[in-house]
Amino acid sequence: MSQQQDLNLFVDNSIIPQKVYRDEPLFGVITHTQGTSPSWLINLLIENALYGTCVINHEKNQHRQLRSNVVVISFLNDFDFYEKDLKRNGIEVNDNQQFHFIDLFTDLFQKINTPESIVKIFDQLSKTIQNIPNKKTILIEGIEFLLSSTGITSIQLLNQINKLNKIADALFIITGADKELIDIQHANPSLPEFKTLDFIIRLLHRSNIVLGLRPLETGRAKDITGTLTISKGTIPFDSLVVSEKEYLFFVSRETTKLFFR
Amino acid sequence: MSGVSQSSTVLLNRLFTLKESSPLLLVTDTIAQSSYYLIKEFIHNVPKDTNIVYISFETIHKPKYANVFIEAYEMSSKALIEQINSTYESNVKNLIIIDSINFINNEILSQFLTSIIKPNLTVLATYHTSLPELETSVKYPNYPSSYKILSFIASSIFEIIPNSKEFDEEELELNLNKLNIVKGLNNSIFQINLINRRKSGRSINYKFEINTMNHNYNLILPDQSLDSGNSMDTQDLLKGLTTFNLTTSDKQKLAKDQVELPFLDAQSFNNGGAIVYEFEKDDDYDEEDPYEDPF
Repeated sequence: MSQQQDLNLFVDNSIIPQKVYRDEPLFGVITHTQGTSPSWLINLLIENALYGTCVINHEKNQHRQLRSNVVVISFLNDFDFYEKDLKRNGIEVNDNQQFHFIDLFTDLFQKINTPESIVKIFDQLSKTIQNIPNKKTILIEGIEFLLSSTGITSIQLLNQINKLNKIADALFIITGADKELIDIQHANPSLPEFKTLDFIIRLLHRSNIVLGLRPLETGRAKDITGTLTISKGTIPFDSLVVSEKEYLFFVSRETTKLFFR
Repeated sequence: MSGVSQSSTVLLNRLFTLKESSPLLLVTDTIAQSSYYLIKEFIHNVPKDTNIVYISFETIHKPKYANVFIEAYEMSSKALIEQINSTYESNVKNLIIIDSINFINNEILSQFLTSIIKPNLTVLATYHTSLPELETSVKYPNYPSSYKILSFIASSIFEIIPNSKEFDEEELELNLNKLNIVKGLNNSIFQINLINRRKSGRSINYKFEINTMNHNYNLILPDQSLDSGNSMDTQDLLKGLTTFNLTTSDKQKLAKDQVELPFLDAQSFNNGGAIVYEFEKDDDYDEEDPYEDPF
């Protein structure tokens, strides 16, 4: 087996560079498919945004110092899910003032069902998040569900994301990009696959960095879960340079390992 | 050839500096290579006193070069048109950049454009061709698609192509269809396919390689080897290969062309496919034999 590698996204070997919190805001898109759950990557991004460290990298024992607020908005998981996973990575979120979790999963389809209710929720959210002092990293997970389950259009949903984009220093949208979700047979704008493809392509057209998680094309393997491709988005940064590469990753019970491809 | 390359680069420069009068410049891009660098190239070239208005549907932070930045994504089209028209300055050149015209509804597209187009003003609009497009409009069947309307109105179309030297086109398309963004896309060096329409109705087509790092534009000549060069190539290949003479002279070629090949003769069925038997002196013909050919 080849040598285990550190995770880094930029040529300066950082995951989220300090410059993002100064004057170069980041818009990242993470796409995944069945079999390659992004939760390990989300956890590492949360850690890096909070402290600038990464538990799977060599210099993991580096002194942790808080740097940014992290807001996780999830349509897929509840707080317990993240609490448990982050604890394993050595992050105690219960007494962390900089970690904010917004659970939109529990109320999904109860309070969140019409386009109007979604607009209302996002208006509230942007107000709440705006009141958080200092730097902000926002991660939104599973928002594409709203397209197939409610009457909201892709443009309306993007407008909601804009509200958060304005107040965030770094914003990551984590979305599924399975073939079934984006394969268009009929160009009918009310079909979920039309809306989802439209949504993801419009996201990519404003992205600075794109992370893609895919299973191995050759099928399942015992020691490899899938590939992580890091590429530039369509909009370059002013000065930051994305380190484009492809990792093989292996998620096991205790940890995640990365290898170069 | 140098004349073609010169006039084409001149045309491109005239377009970049807004010297060519053109109400609508259409830029079509994909997720593989966005229009970002081409727009930057326009900004690099336009006259200093140009009034640059940026209409944003997907850009959150105001670009440094924009004089006016309009957040259009939650505006009605009427309000947007009013606001755009209020930024117009008649004594200087006006450049209106629309970061993606896909956001403007297909049915009001032509009306939108005609109400903002004025003398001394150029609309530079990006159209994302990766986005799925409706087959037909819900309200009006047979209404043309946004792309068709735009390419009909536009005086020049810049089609953006990723630098093809590095990619296998088929494989790239397969990956992009699965939304796999591979390495090495969205570069500062890329190609454009420029279609320019003259007032006379003549349209000219050039392909350039654009390097936005050093602002070099190179004309890419159409590949001619596919049409005529092939037979010449084998001749060239044989020349000087050995001391034997393997090439054919013109006279030999002519003679070769005139040879009637046997299979051509066999194609003409003048005899209707009948078996023609000619009796020869050595043939033994037996009248009693029932299987003998009864010709």
